[in-house]
Amino acid sequence: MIEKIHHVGVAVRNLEEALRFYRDVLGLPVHKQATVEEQGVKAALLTIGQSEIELLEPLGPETAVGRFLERRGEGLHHLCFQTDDIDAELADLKAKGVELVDQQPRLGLAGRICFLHPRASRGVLVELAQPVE
Amino acid sequence: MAKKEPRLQLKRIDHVAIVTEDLNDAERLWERNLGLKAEASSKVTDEGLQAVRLPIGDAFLELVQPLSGQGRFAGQLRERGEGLFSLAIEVDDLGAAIAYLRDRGITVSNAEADTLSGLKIARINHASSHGVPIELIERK
Repeated sequence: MIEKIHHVGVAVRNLEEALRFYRDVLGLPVHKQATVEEQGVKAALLTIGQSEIELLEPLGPETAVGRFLERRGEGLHHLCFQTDDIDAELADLKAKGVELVDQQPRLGLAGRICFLHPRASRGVLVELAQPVE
Repeated sequence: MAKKEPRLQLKRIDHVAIVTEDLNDAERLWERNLGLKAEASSKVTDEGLQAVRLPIGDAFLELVQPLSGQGRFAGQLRERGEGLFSLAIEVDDLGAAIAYLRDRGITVSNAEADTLSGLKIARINHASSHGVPIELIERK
């Protein structure tokens, strides 16, 4: 079951500069910060209510977020929903023939995650996440 | 004793706005993919926007289809296509939030009534927020 918005992903050119606004001006606490090599990003998750804002700086121009920045500039990148059972969710999506980026869940900053193809949601890149302890 | 620094009290993500060329199809896809359902049938505003809300947790997605070529939503469709549009964040006191941000050099609009909800909102200039159109919204 989809429970809530886990986070809203934002592509930025420079994480430290973006933190100066989101952390220092807006006052949102940084919950987690990490470099995720396989996804080609330096990321920070900031808590807001029951959800988070995820700032993503690409590690290079050839990464997915790097190409997004090149094409569209900084801004809203993806929307992540929290599920209590990502395996069941993914099986259900496959059964319905929904176009996916990930055929299997993988480990990301938000837990076990997978991405749907933006074509499946009329231009919105959707991520599902099942947090792991 | 040192005076406590005032802080901006952001309560939660209120909603995420998504712009689409085909509201019916977008609504169908969100329900098919994730089981998100509209809380009521879509509404058309005076500004020529057709919109529907999909509640999720303590927030909602707002799917918006502009019915004319005018306005911010139509502009995004032309320039960037369908997709994520803006992020709305609830605050307790909109006036205090605007003053707080302006004190820190952030460009924020004056409070106004939102065309879709009728609630008091203010917009943070997206140059300050790294490309994200952020709306602050007061619900009480």
